[in-house]
Amino acid sequence: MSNYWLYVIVSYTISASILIIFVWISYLQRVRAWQELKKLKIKTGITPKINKYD
Amino acid sequence: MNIIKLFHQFISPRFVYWLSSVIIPYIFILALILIAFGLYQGIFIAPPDYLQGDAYRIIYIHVPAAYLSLLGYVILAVSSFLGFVWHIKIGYYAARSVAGIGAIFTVIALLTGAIWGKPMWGTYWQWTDPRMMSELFLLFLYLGYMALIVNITNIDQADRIGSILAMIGLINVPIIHYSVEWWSSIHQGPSIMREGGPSIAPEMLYPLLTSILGFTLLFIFLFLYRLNTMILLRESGARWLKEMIHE
Repeated sequence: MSNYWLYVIVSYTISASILIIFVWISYLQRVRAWQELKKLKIKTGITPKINKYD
Repeated sequence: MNIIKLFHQFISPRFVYWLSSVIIPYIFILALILIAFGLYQGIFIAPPDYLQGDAYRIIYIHVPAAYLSLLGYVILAVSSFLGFVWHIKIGYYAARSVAGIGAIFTVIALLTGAIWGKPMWGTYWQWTDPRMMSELFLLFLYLGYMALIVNITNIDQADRIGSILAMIGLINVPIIHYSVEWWSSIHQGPSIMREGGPSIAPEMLYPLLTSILGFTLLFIFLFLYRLNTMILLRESGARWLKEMIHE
C-alpha cells in the first residue's frame, strides 16, 4: 500500500465524520422542532373541527 | 389565473411540507446506494492515475463537495431573491435551510483539497491561489449569512438583510468557477465540463459521475429535511400545522 492511501483514508474519514455529525444535528433540530410544537399543542388545545375548513 | 393559483399552492409551506415528507425517504435511500456504488468503484475498482497514483481517489469526494458548495450558494441566492423581491415565504425558509448544508460541503471541499494538495503540490494551502481563496471566501459568505440571520432579533428583518448579503455574494460563484482560467493557479483546469469533452478516462469518469449524482441526492435530502424542520418552526402558528399535530 502506497503512502498516498493514507491521504485518501484521512480525506474520506474526515468527510464522512462531518456529514454524519451534520445529519445527526439536523435530526436533533427536527426532534426539537416537534417538541416545541407539542408544547404549543398543550398551550392552545385542540382546534375545533368546525373551523377546519372555514 | 389557474396557473397562478396552482403556482401559489405549489410553493405554499403546507404543500412543500407534504411533498418533501413523501419523497425524503426515497431520496435518502437512493443517495446512499449511489454514493456507496460510486465510492466503491472509485476507490477499489478504478485504476490508479499514471501521474498521481492512488492519491487522485480523493477526487470522488472533493469534486462532488466543491460542486455542491457552489450549487448550495446558487440555491441560497435564488431563494433569497424569491423571498426578498416577491415576498415568497418559502424562499426565506429555503435560504435558511440550505446555508448550513452549503457551508458543510464547502468545508469538505477545502479540507479534502488541502489533503490532496500535500502529496501533489507539496503544500496543504497556497494563499495566492485564486481557486482556494475564492472557495475560502465562499465559506465566509455562508458563515456571514448564518451569523447575520441568527443575530438579528427581528426575524423578518433578519431574512431581508440576510437575503441582500446572499444575493450580493452570488458574484463569487462564477469567480470560483472561472478562477483557474482567468488567473494563474496551481489548481488544475476543468476536466469534466470543458470543450472537447471530459479529459478523464471513462473507467475513472463513470464512478465520479455516480458519486456526484449520489452526493447531489444527499444534498437534496438534507435540504428538504431541513426545510421541513424550518417549516415546522416558522409555521407553528398556522392552522394546517395545528390540525396536523392534533390528528
